[in-house]
Amino acid sequence: MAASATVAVSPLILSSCQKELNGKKLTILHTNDMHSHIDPFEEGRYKGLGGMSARASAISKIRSVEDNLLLLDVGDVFQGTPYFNMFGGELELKLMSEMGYDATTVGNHEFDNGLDGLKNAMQFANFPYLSANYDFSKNTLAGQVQPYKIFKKGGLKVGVFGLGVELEGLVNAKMYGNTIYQDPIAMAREMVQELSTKKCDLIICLSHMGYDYGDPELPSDKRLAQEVSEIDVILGGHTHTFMDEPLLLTNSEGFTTTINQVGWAGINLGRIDIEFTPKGKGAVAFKPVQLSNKI
Amino acid sequence: MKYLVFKLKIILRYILTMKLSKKVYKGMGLAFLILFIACSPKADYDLGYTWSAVEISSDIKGSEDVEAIIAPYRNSLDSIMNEEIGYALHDLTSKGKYESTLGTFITKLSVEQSIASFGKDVDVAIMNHHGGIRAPINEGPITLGDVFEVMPFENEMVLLEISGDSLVQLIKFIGKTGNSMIWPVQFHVSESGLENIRVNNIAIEMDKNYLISTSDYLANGGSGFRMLKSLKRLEVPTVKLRDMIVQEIREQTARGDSIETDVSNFITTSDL
Repeated sequence: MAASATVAVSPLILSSCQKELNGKKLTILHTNDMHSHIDPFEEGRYKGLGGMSARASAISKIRSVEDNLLLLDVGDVFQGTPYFNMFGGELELKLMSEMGYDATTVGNHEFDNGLDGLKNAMQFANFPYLSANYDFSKNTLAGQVQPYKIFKKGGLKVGVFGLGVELEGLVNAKMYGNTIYQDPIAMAREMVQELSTKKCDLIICLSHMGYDYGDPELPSDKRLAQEVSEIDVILGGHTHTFMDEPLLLTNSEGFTTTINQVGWAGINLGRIDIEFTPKGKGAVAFKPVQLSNKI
Repeated sequence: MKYLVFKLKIILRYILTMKLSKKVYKGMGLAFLILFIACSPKADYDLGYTWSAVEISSDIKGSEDVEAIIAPYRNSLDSIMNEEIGYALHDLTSKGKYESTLGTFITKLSVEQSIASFGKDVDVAIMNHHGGIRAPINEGPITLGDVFEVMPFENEMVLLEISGDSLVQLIKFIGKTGNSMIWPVQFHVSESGLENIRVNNIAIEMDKNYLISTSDYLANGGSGFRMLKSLKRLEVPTVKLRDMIVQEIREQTARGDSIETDVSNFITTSDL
């Protein structure tokens, strides 16, 4: 019966899905751990770097030439300069909204003014907070944070979900209240299944778990890529890791995940361009690194 | 087969007329799912990646729209943060493995301010020395903004009760890791471990209870301080560590004093 159904309808479906992806391209721009660095560094080793006004210019410049763009953040927007202490994250989120961020996730420092503090600040964000493993259903943030969002960009369906770090011992329990931290690896498996069922062409994880702890017990971006297939890109945070180039990790099931993280404080804006090429037609699956530091 | 074609015709008619009842829509979802698994478009492709890290530098001209949003916040912040609350006679930094000028200044004021604010006989203070102190206090005028840079976090002060024998274990942990500062505690670090551990130059009594002043971050087990989690916490009013530092500087300034702190040199080491 199912086979007959396929024969009856598949010409229509097949033709649409085969021509759909060829040459399709997505540009991902990403930040993590910006830590309230509204202004560029005034002194020290990062003097003159960062600043949200310059970042906004860089983003609009890239937007002017790239049609299919996702601008993503990986948490810890809050805490690090008096802008946060005085205004509680309001300015950071207003500026991210102005820049057209598509999503962020909940980093551990998002809890620094408690759940109410986060909720108050969130009204200044016109983009969603994504977290699949923090359960807020029993507190004031119920319904304010979603596990994932599917973006449609130029014919591509892109599923984006978020993961957060263990809160106990890291965040004052009074601040996160009855938020429940769930196993990120298990939740990632659920997300991959859900987003695959929803026919996403690409799956991206915003992970505030940290890059790598060299400890098999501790969840990290590397462990996630090793244990869960079908996540195309993990954008990382928390460990403030500056990477010379993304890590392409091929796990035991043969699936390759790209992991990237761009330090902290908005010093760098990460950029990953993904292009669908017919299998075997392109010489290599991964093109050589193109490091261009200047806009 | 005939029945199925008939069914599909009905479904198609529903699509065309947009009259999708929930039940039919659900059935359709199932049919489409089967078809997509058979076709699995993603598997037919390779993903080509290119990447870059775009350095956000002062070479990039800032966005005027963004500057306009920041301006009122920056002005308001500057007027608050530029207030001079005191004067430092020398640079206070967190340089030094077990003790430093800034570490001593903060742990000492934690003990003294805790005694004054909470009315408790606090014995020692512990600070997240190399992770928690985020900037030095430089010689010259100290602004409120400088203190925010030293202590950007919203950590609150916590008082913990600890038995003498647990305090010895705690001090041994601090001696081993060397990331935190405890004051006023004396010990000697040798190849075999910590020796001559004393609090305020007095030997620790194993069956006596001591009071620790520290941040909620460490009290909740941060930076490896799991042993602090199980300790009894005293009920005290909420005071942020940063506000305590500001209070200390303001008080010293009001007395006509400038800020200066010598390292106590309480901790000695053998050549390891």
